[in-house]
Amino acid sequence: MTELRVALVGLDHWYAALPLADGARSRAGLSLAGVWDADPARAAYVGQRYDVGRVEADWRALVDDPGIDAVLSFVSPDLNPEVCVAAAKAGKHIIANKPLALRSEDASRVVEAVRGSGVTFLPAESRQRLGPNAQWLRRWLQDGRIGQLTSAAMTTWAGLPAQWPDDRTPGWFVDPARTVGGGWVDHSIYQIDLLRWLLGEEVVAISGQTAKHAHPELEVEDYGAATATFAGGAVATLENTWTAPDGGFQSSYTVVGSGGAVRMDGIQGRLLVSGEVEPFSGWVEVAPPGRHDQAADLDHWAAVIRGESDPVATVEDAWHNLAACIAFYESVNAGRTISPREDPA
Amino acid sequence: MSPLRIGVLGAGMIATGGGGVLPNLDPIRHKAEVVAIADVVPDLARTVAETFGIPHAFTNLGAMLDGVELDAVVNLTPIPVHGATCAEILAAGKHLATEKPLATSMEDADRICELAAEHELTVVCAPFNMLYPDRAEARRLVREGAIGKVAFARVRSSHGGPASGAWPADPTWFYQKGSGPLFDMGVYGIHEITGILGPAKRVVAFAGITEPTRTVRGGPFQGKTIDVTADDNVLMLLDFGESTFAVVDGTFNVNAARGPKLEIYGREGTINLSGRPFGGDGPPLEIFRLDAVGGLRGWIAPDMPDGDAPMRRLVGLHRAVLVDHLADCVATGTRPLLNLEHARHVLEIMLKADEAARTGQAQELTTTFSLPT
Repeated sequence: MTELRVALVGLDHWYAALPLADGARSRAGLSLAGVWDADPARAAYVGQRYDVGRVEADWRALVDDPGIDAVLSFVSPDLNPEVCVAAAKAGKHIIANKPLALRSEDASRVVEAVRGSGVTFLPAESRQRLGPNAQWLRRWLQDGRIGQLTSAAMTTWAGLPAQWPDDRTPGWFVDPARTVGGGWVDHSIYQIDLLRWLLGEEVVAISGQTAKHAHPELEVEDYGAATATFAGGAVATLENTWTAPDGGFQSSYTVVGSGGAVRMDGIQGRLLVSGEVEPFSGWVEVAPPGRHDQAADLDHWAAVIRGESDPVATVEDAWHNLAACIAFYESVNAGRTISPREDPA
Repeated sequence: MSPLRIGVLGAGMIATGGGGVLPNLDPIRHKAEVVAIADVVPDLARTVAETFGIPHAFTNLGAMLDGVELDAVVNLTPIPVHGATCAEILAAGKHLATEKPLATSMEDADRICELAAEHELTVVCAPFNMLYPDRAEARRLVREGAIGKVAFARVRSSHGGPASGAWPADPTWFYQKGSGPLFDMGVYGIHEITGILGPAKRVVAFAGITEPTRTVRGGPFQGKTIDVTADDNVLMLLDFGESTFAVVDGTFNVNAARGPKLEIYGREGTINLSGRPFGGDGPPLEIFRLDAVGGLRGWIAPDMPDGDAPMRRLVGLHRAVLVDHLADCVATGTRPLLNLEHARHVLEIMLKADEAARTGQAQELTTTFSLPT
């Protein structure tokens, strides 16, 4: 098996980039062949930590290098499309930060570059689909355990993100010139991706509001609540914040169907289902399927690249996820429900 | 129907305390009316009678049985005289509700059973845990095979002992030979696990004195040092036959616990009773099944039949539950759930646990019982 030589371009979203860098270095069939970041000190740190011999001063040196097979793009969304387009044109497979871009037009350029290029594109927010919890939930729904999915309530309470492990300031995460929004989009994009995948439908309408409850000094919101309607009529509420105190992180959901429901209590880590539980009625607490090993996502990516597996998600997913998020912010500004753009073309 | 005419024997704490019988009869006045009270402590019965508006007061049981028309007697005497007084009540042709234990010897217990049968009288004996909906539901689930063949159960039956808190009276007697936590607390766990699983066949136990003295930690006797002469730390292992076992404690050493009140482990699942509302968190009953839903193992917290109302009512009656159950059984002619044969079986287990602890030998049990379904 030919080794896949991976370059890490950008460390802005280090929460994802560092585990994947570690995975690229350590998993069979992969090697971490180079790293770049706008901050040379961060790039040097990663080079040393993960034993990467090549630390570049210009990301193009990695993307244009025929010796590099694939790129992990974890630059902020303002630069993400440029890296992805260049990588696709250079025939590099891609895992890309979320959101894909600041604007749908920029995201469309990535879609256009990826289509027909033969490269495999895995959106960062879609990697969750590979985790045991999402896989279990999808199978539970596909087996008809809760009937037709009709609604969902999803919430994440988080603190402000840190721009680097030892720098608690939020940096680009709160810079409207570099990202789409604040506390809402940071986590809602995962929920939108998950529901699109579970339903096999697009968001057709979205509305909501944002606020600055805990951090009025920010230029982006630290609180957002959306109501999203999917093509088949399912409705989801998505409440996501950066207002949690230290230690207060929790991510929970309730998914309701015509014949039952699933509830994940993120505080206690309890997974509960209701439905056909004869001879009893009510909720059943079942063991959560397990922890998501982020680095293991690389195995799927590599298998797709080798033609051994179908992709769990594509660049079009990244585009639609972004379109729904952009529509949310348009709705907040316009004070009415917005329909996301339907197509990258 | 006119209310059951009740005589109360014993005017101490279980009669008059906040959780006792007399202060909690209001909700069942239509079923039971206390017409007399007796106590051997001079003037005590008269004082209590005045406080609770009881028409007649006596200084001994015989005088009460002879002196007033009664349908039933509620026996709230100290443990050592339960046997003799219960027999006397039944011999006089009165229905009986008695505090636990039924007696302290099998001879007394057998005599009580004979008298009840001979006179066709109804006898109700504490503890009353099997009236609680969660215990009843656990019994039903086990019998229906909801957790498969039962392998074993753990039963927490104890508290820290009356000296560990603010007991309102002198708690010394609890720690003296002839009393102790086996009879005081172990009786609850034995009652409920045999109520749920059925009669046991053998018992083995360890027993000892944890420390030679206890210091009362609160209440009017705070600071008093008690010489402990009764075993205050007893662990029993019950054998129900066919490799079904249970461990039950009867100890004054459970100052706090986070474990379940009672947990039963079967081949197909587990039943957990949290102990709520008497401590314990979470639903009163949960059941784990290897095949809970869609082939997945999981915990279910089934709704109790009729919701919380039956439990709230029982809790609200405190120890007047005994009178309530007796009155219902007499009025309807139904066999008590808190029945005499069960109480005798529980007593035999306690007596033989003591013997097993002394001899180091498992003891065969000879009594049995059945509960109304």
